[in-house]
Amino acid sequence: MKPIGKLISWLVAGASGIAGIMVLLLVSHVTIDVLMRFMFSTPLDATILYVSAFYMVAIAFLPLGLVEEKDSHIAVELLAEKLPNSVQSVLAFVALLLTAVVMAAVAVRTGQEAMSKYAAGAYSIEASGKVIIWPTYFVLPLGFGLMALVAAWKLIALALGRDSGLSILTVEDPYLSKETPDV
Amino acid sequence: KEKLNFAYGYPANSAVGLAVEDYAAAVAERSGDNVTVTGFPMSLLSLPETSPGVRDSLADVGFVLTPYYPAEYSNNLFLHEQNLLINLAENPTGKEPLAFTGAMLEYTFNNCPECLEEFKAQNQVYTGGGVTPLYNMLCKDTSITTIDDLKGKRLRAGGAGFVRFAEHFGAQGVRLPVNEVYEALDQGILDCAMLSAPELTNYNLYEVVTDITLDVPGGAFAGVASANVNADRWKAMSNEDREALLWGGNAMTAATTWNFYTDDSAAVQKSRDLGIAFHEPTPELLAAVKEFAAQDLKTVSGLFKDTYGVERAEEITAEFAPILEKWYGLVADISTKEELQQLYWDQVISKVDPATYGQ
Amino acid sequence: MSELQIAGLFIGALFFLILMRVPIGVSLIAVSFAGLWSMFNWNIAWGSLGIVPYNFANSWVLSSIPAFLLMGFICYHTKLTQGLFSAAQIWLSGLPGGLAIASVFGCAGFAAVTGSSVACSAAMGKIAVPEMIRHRYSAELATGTVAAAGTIGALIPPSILMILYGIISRQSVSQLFLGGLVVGVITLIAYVLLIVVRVKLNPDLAPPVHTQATRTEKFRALGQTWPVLLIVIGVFAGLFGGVFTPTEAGAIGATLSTLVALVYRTLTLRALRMAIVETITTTAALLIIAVGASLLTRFLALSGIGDALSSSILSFGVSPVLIMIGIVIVYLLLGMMLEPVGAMLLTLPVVLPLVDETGFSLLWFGVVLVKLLEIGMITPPMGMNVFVIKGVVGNIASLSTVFKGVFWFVIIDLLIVAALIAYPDIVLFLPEMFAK
Ligand code: NA
Ligand code: NA
Repeated sequence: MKPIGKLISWLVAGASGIAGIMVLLLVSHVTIDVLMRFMFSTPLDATILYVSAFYMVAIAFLPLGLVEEKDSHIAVELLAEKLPNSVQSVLAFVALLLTAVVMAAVAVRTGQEAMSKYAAGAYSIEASGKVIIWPTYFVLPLGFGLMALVAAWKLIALALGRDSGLSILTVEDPYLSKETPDV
Repeated sequence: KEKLNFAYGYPANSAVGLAVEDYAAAVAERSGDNVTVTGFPMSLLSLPETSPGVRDSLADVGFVLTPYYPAEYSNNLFLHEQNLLINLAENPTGKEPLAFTGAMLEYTFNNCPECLEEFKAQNQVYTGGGVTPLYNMLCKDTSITTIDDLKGKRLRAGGAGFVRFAEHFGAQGVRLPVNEVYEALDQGILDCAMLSAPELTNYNLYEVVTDITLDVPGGAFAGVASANVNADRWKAMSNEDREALLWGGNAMTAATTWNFYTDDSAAVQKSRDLGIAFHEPTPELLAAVKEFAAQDLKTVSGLFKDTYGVERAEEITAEFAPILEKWYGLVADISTKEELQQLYWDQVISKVDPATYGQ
Repeated sequence: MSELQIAGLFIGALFFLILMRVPIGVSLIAVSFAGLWSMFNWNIAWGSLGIVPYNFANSWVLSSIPAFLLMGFICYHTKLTQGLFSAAQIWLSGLPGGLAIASVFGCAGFAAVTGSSVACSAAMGKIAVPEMIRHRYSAELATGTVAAAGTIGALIPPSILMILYGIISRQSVSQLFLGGLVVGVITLIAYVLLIVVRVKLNPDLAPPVHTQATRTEKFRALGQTWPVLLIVIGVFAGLFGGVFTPTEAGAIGATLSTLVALVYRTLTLRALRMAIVETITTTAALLIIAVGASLLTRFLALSGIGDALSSSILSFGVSPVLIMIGIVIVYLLLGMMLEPVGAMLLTLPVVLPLVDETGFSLLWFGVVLVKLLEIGMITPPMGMNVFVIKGVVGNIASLSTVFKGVFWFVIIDLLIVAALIAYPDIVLFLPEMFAK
């Protein structure tokens, strides 16, 4: 189990790493555009295209594997946490199964769309000329695919009753790490 | 009985929304109520989603804007780029958009097989077009009358062509979505927005715009396939029903163009009533705008041939201009939407054979 | 079964999945897909999966959300916010629930900079909630306050929702902004009063701090607030000085926080990395829900919910006030499961003509509608503001805790809506005063 879990975690970390770089690019690109427009009267070309098609799409979908790995999906615990443990593990199983199947389907469908955009050589016409945008469509099958993969692997680990071997990245907190307040 | 869903990314009471009502009525009447159309304003498909949405049958009919997908629609887009020809009209009458619609309709149906092929590749059947009014300078706290007035101004530019226009005149072309123009003018991020007058109403720009210069930069938005039908749905229909859809497409084309055209004069009138200042461009500025249009048409032709794969670019340019000239004459006496509808039908769409078209 | 009954069935299935702890985004996508498939056909369902996610995320306006999140996370991880809250602590020690009240004002301040309540909650969530928890506020009060106060973001101008309503209904945006400003300020005051009363009745919610700070200590504490003040003033000045748009404000805020942290000497590579990791996971977790909600809107649109809505509203009666109460109830129900933009696009074509017939002004209705849609942002099971807070605070509080926390705020909101219906002039006096 361990080596495969490690491999998946490595893929997830790679995809999130790219998303992280995209966040920095988004913020600096917009800041530089504003400065250039305001101070030097020469705005950058195609900022909106880069921000929306390149950065936003990557930030929205590439970290999905990490979200699944860290279990940071937004879900309602209210009722489920009151149920007996045995029922809760059945629910966890069903949730993972549904996640894996649905995300795999979305990955396949967005993958088809990406292939057709690749075939068409999709681009945008900007003032500076042609900007190729078909690669941005491949972010979706990658992100949804990783999420499906992580969920499927957790499902297998749960079924076999073994450790998934996925790395658990914890976010350190500058204030709350030492003592947890009474919540 | 056929029930069709028509998706369009505009509000129900907009020029396009009202045209869709005409479309539904025309189709129902022509098919003897055999085909009924339900309009979906904004909720079903957004503007960029409409082309793929009609392709995948989320809607049966859709108001498709080709500029969203230049790779898929490069030939259609090249026809739209001919809109700068409007600026070169010898004796402008204000009816240039009506003529441009007719010319584009005629050229697409009769002379541009590669345009129809592009729609086919997207699983769609083209049945109508439409053109917006001319672009103007809508400004806040500044007025544009001379060439020098444009220098250093921050102008909202909707596409690459507008950025070229801005740079040609020493201004900055700022790319912003149209729904952010209000705030940007208000805050002074923009000096002017290059938009058609109906956007004053659509986006409430009256409240911030103080000065308007009409017909600069000129040109119009023509990248419109106003009633594209899902091809699977089309092929499964009877010839009579297809003919009703062509009749509807014709009504849609006329209504879209006519509604924009009348919205334009209404918006200008309302702006005058509100005390917004109107400025006449100097003859030098108008001449410079014409000169830019002539030059940019050449630039665009070269760009589309070399970079965007429109092989017949020069040929299309050569063929299209005379057709547009012919249409300037055809629309000269048009004074109602019904007349316009009849004109488009007689000249173009009535000649399309529903049995073989779109197969 | 009619199409509407099928739609009802699938909404039931959605609630069931969500309650069974299936991630909300996955539940929404699964149910919308199955609904489109069973009501229409495979092609429509399969096609929608390929179209909606990309086009939804491919958005310039949405880009302010990761940017504001990054700003909040950087401020937090580089401890820029510490000084501000220590000062608030000292200065507001006499006031019950002082920090919560300070947070409400903070949210209102951000509201003037951002156009959406999600961006507002994103910016304030990480700044305010952990500080309140550190001062032993109950997690319920801390999270609930910020989630609810975030809704002020769409009321106080600029506001994306009001611009959209203005476009659809042809109402004046600046008039809507003025009306929204009034309702935003009323909401602000009501929330502050609510916090004071709740803490008075139950001091455990926010234990009072007894600091005998001297005058010098008090002013020294004020001196420590400069990092955040610098960022906030920078963003404000730029926005109102015509340097950048509300959409660009998030990126400028994030850059400013990084620079200030650099000067403050707390910017470490590790802090930056933590801020980025939290930004991307929170954005992705929120956007998969938003994509699912957007798919659900298409399903509901195709199921013909529009006509059903107008007939159910009309079933409330014929008097204008009864119809308006019907409209309010419909939006409260829709607000439970839809996000504001989807709800607006889905309903306005049928609701606007109804409102027109009642004789209520469309300007007034726009402001009330935005208030109603913002209530939907904090009501279960789909409350985007609550999700944002849950996303940014991590394990400090469960989703149920945050929903419990907003309960009293929702009650207050309903009272405000009732007042706006009973006295429409509350909304209209300011716009009418400035009418051209
Ligand atoms: Na705001
Ligand atoms: Na809700």
